[in-house]
Amino acid sequence: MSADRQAPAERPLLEMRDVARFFDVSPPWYQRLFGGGSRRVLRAVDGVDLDLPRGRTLSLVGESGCGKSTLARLAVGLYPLSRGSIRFDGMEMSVRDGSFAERRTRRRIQMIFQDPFASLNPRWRVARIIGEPIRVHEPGTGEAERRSRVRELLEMVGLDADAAARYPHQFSGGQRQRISIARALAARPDLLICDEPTSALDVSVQAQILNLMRELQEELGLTYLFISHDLSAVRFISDYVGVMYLGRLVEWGEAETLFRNPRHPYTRKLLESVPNLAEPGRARTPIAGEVPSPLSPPPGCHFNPRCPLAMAKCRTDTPGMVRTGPGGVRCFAVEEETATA
Amino acid sequence: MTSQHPAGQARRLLRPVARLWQSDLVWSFRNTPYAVVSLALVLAIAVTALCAHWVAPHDPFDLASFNILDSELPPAWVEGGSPEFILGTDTQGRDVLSLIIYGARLSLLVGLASVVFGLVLGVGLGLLSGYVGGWVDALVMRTADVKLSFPAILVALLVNGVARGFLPPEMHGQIAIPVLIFSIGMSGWVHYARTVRGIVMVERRKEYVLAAQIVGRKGWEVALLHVLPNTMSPVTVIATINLATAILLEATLSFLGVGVPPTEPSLGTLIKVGSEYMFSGIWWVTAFPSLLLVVLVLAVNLLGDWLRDALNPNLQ
Repeated sequence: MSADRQAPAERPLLEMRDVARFFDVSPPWYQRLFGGGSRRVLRAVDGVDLDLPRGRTLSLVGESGCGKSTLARLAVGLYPLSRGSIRFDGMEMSVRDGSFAERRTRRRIQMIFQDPFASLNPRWRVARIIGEPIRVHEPGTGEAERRSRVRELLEMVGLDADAAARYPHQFSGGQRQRISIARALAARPDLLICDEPTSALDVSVQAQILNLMRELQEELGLTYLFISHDLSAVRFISDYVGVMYLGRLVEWGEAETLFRNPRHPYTRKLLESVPNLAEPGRARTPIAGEVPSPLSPPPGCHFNPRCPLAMAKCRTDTPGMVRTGPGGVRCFAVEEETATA
Repeated sequence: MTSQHPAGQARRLLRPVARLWQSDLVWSFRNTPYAVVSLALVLAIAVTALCAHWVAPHDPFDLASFNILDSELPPAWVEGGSPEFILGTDTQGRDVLSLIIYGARLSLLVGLASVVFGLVLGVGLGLLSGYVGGWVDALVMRTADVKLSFPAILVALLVNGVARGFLPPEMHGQIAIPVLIFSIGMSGWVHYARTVRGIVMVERRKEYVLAAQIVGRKGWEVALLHVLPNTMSPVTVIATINLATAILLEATLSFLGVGVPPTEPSLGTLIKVGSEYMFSGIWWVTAFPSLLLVVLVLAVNLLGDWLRDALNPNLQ
């Protein structure tokens, strides 16, 4: 690594500022013309600020459709941003010019996917799948060297070296996920975006994959952005947790603090909904109502129709992020509580 | 890793063959008698046609080799036939069997070439359409819709007419076959384009394609390396069935007089020339090419039918 680009130690590896992504889901123009209907915009992610310190794990949790997967795909550059900026290691990533510098930087952000049965090309052998990033980013590598790198990577993720000659369908879900991790590591990344990497796996295999991810983090100094709705997995792996609701980050903070002392009413409800073996008789109140459609979110705080603490202000104004220690909360009720305390 | 033992090496070289022999596709083939018979027929016709120069008893292009006195001889087993001309002779004294062999060669050649042309065009456009999407997709697919509302023969007649209109008459003979290949190919590309587009639109959302993008592959690399290979089994089926259609279309166009020039024997021109004498009792000049055409098209179609079933995972 060149010394001149060395950022100050404090600087987060990934900085998101007011990140937003809108999808145009309007019917085609001729349908709008003849059958009526208007332009509709889905605000999948709407103004998220987030910092991810180097070598740490930040998890994003929330219900389906809250925008956490979209945020992951924005971080890795699969979608362009509608607003805001993403800086990786101090470099602006929202400019997509396809330049050599951009490609070199993008290499350092890799991704692990949810479905291990869809994330590997069924017609390619494992050696070719894992060798692909090496082929793309280190084109000077010889055949023999690439083969030994693939072997190393396979061993690193706990697979036999002879797996290289086989096809993806010859492996189980957990083994495929290991292959997927090996492919990501082949690009020598600094940041791994993990989009629900364990939710398609058996419970026993989930733990193995999570342990592997932790080992790799210690060994290689990786930074993780971990997307999940499995709160126990999140608690196990995270240093920081962000909670999303309808495209907005409603609360974030250090994992232990957030799990022990959730501030936002949505976070509280979310954590309450998890069964806990330590307190089997605990009353678990479900969150009232349904998640509103992200196509027409309620005005003000998106959570106000389901919130037990909702006030008049919540229905008209959007609360800002109030800093609490290293984290933050977006809630008027918490704001007032802190002000009076 | 590599064994130097000769027996081991031979086994390694044979391994792909063994794997192929045990594959589901070959197993299904071996257990489908009509597929075996069809393939045998197609191969027999193709090999005979390709080796026309050596197999055919007479050379229909060599003016010195046929005699007007031998004209209009019936097949050998009919009274008045000569064992020298098994299937009889035409009005110029040419051997019908040789004409058919040479004619099949041209028909197969035109059929194959137009299938390849239509396939490359259709798969290319389908891939582009499904992968890029947006207005490119709309343009290609609306063009395909318009194309589908023309009968194939009309397209071929149009292309043919335009080509003839623009080129000087002395070039008509030379360009006839390329024009024929082009117009038959043009009539087939829509099927490939639609099928490939559909598959591409499903595949490009799959996570392995996203993974290739994140790994840093450029768009066209992802399309060619990852998406295209996964569209190939249905394309093979369409190409086979399309081959039968192309051969038929060639025969139709040649019969109508807009295909290969009458001086070149193709199955279509033979049927046309022969049909003019049919009512004077000379049935053999038109009957045998027609029979071969039917057998060839039927065999190719049956092969395509089998392939479609064998490659369809839902039927297994």
